[in-house]
Amino acid sequence: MTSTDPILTVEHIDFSYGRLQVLFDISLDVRPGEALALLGTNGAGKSTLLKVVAGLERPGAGRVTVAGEDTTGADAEAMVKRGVVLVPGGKSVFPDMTVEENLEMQGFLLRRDRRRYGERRARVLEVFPRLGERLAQRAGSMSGGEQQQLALAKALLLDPTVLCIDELSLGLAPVIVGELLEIVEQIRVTGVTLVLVEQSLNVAAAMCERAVFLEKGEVRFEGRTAELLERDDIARAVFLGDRDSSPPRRTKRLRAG
Amino acid sequence: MENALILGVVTGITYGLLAVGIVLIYKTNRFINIAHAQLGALSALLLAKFVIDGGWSWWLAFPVVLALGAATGMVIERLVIRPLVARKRKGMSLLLVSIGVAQLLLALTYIQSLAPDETRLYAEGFPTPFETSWELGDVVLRPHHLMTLVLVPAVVLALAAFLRYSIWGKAIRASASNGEAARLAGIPVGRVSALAWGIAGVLSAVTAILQAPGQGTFSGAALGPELLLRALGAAAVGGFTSVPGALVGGLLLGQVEHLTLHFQKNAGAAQLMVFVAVLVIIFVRGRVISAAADDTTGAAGEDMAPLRTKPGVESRLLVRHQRALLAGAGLFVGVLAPLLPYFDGEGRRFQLVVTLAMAIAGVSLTMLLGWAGQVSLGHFAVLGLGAFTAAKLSEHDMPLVPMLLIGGTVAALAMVIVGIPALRLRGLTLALTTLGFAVVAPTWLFRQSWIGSGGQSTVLIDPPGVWSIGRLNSQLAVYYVTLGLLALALVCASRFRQSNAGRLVLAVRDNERSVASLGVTPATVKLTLLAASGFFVGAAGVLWGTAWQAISTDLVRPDHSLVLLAIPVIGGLGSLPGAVIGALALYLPSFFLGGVMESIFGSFAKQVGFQLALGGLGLVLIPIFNPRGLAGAARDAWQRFVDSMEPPAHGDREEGAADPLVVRGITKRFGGLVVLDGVSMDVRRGEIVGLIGPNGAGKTTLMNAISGNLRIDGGSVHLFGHDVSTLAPEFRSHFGLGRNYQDAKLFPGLTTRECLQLAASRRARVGVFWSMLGAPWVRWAERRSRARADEVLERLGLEPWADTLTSDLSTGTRRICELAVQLTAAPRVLLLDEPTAGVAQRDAEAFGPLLRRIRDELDCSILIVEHDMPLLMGVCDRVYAMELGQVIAEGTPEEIRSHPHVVASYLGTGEVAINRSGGVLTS
Repeated sequence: MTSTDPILTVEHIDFSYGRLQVLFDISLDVRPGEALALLGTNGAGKSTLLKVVAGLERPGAGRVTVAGEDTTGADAEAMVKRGVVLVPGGKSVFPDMTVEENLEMQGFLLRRDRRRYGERRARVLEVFPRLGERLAQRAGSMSGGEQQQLALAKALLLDPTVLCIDELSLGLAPVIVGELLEIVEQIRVTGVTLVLVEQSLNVAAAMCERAVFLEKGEVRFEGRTAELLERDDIARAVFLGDRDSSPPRRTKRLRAG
Repeated sequence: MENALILGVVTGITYGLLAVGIVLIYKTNRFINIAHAQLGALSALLLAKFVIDGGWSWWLAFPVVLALGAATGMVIERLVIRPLVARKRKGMSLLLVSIGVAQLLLALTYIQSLAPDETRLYAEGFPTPFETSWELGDVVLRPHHLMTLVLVPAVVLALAAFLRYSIWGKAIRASASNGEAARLAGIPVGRVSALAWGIAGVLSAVTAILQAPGQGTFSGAALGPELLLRALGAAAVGGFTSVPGALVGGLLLGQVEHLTLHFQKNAGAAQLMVFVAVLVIIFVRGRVISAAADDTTGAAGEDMAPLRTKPGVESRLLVRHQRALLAGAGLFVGVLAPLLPYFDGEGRRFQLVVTLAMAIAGVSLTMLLGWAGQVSLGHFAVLGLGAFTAAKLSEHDMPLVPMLLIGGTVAALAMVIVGIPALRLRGLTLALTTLGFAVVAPTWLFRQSWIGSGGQSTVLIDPPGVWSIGRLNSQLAVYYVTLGLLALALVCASRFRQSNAGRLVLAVRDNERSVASLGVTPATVKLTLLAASGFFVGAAGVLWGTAWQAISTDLVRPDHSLVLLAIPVIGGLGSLPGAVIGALALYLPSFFLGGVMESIFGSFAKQVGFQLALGGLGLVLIPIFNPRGLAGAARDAWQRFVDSMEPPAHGDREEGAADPLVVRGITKRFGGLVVLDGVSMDVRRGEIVGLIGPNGAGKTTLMNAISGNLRIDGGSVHLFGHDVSTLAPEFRSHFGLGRNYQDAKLFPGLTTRECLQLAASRRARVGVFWSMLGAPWVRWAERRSRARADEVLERLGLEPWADTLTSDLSTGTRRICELAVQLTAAPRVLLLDEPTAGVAQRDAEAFGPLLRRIRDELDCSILIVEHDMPLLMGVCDRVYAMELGQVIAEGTPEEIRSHPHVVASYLGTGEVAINRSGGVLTS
């Protein structure tokens, strides 16, 4: 683990959908090469936070910086150019287009550099050989697991520095989740910084050293996942609402590494 | 016969090409672009000008004007569409704006300096690149036919190839397929949208250039509603998303038109058959169209909240009687206006009558568009129907009052008939069928001898008599009767809006499904509203015709119906005074500024061009800058004034033995996926029962199965011993079942109290007619529902928010309000699906005590799905835990919390993940 400056910081982010405020004063930072898990129940604001980071939504207040540069309010296109790539939960492929076209569209920014696109496409198909067999298939007609593979492949094609993944495991069979996790692990060891949104504590713990718990749009807990697994009282408190072992509302930050 | 078939193909592919443009924009921005045919109107006009006046070669002018068409599309995208999309406007709102765009573009074609020399255009015809004609047997294919047969397939193939093979074409498809993923891929979706509009502009320009030679001369109006009906009908074949579907639809309608022309030799009959074909398309392709219809459902604008008053201020005369004062002032001005020196001639008074008639039409449109979110593109034709009915009746010397009643009733019937195909499919379909009526009325219906002119160029309306007082033989008399009708329409409409029937109309617009759960059929609500709207505009038509004294089909051309839509938008959607203000704003300026405008638009078209420009500007600018219109602006000013004022210094129930809710073995499959697998559970009297489980466990599906929103594949649901397994949701509410919906389902256009009143009178009849007349029993019911609403408001401590629009409530308050709506209907079993979703922690904490009070004070058992575990575990008597569609545990909160299976289901997705965890952690 490196101890250099954070690659991604989020400072005091507020966000509302119309009159519905879903993020309250969220702050966190991610160091280069680190894997951070964003945990929390449904509607805690995890996905929204990722959307703000990826430039899909503009925060009402606060700042987002990437590698020290302020990127608050930059649109998704600009964030992709900076290497911040999001795999959104659920629907991240172009269902009406073939796998080949999906990849080509993901490489839109490389449209004038066919050679580099060709290299990256080859690399991605090496990681996902199954997609190589299905280049002419409509993405919408593939199984859920294959679509998630395609979603990961698309993200990888953009050669991300920070890869945000929203609910990789949602609605998939455990075997398939395991396969996908292996690929994510492969991506991780190449030095890509990961931010994972997860419902499942075990999946998060398998991938990440550090976790941030969100509840109702606020950061409730931040610490090492190893520590979390050992203390199942915290997990139980967060997921099952056991008041007796409830974690403190605002813990002092425990930094990993 | 062959002749007709070939001409049908030539015409049909032109319609298809137009439809392709509509499909392209629908896929890009998810709305029906009414302006599509007009995008290229200016291009066609300038082509003629360049060739005829400028002496250019056709081959030089053609690419230049195509580029102009592309530029037109791109400018509109950048200036109008993108700002609105950024403000998250969609569907109906954008459709209205596109009507404005169409009018502005049409107004441009009336500007004389842009038009070619009229006599030379007439003599030489619209320019074509060559003069060759082909003879195929007895069919003569003229130059523009040959151009069509070559150009259209070429353009369509080029477009298909572009979308299929080029990177930008694929980007258009990608953005249409999944806009968010496109943004995340770094695709500049703004530029992609501009590109799509540019292409649409070119397509439209090509169509206009191919159409124009067939008309002999050029008129932008020829690209209006008649062509639009065919293009929309053709696009509907493919559900507005399929290019081949649009082409097939175009060919179909072209054949229908030319075969009818061949056999009937009657243009009106051809219009009728095209309309019938469009209706058939709507029926046959209903399922494909319904996705598009969903996109165009909902409020077309912003609703207005009632005035807020500080305590103490509401007793002030000006505030307490504000409505009466406003009405009085309006009536005073209305009575005095025709007596003023400027208006004292018959001609000017005639124009005043027309303005008032348009105000009534505006009120009628407000009911449809502002309240019901339904757009009518044929309201002027309905008005015309009133006028032509009056002409028929005046042959029998019918007095005024029965004439008004019959004219209104005929128009109401027409509205209902036109509306029936639209019942199933909502918003968009009514636009299509009313557009069809707008086209068919002047070209066919009003030419039939049983209702219209029967071949005469004009029909006369003799001044009808008013009992024994006299006849309406001066414009002043007609004016006062029209003023009276307007006042009546305003009073009736306003009463209607404040009655339960009126609340239902908004409720159906905002959320049909929830209304069904209140025990009301949305179709009934829509039909009664259509009838009411038709009645007023028909009665206005009687007076409009009386003012004209002689009417012809030219007076009710279909494009007038589009102009009419500007009235409620400019005035402020949903506001009754706004409808009057809108009519005044649209028609009065032409009194005073007509002379000035003549120099720009020319004498022939001065009225039309100016009103198109004015209405178009209103339709485009109001939604961008002030969606609540002139009435909204006035309201805001009045609110500021009221805010600045200083206050003066100082239930019984029957006992049931059976358990409230018994669920046995419910099974539900989606395709091969079993989402509920034999679920059984009980809710006993006075219990609060929780339902927990990870995402995808089937909790919401189970709630939907119990409430009847989802048909089950096996098992049963009993409420107090009654088997309700096969009943629709609205019937289950009669057995005491109430539920909330996870995705926030208050009606945003209503206040808290109105929402509650709506729920309180769910068993009351819709009663549009009686509520307009203010019948005593309507008032009694009104008083009862209000008392019930106030009782619930008080019980839940919601009084401070009673007159707040529910869209203005904070999330926490809105959730409590949702609960209140359910309680108003006095449920005995309440299903709550995430009642605290999106509520801040401190607000959520108030929910526990609230739920217990509901149970204790209202004798209501509760089944609740909730992610806020501390809340759930704190309030529930028992908890069911679900996983993968099965109940895995049942017990007290403590038992559940320590149940090993439950803990496991929350902590991991499965054994693979758990097994992996050790390995990675040590690495």
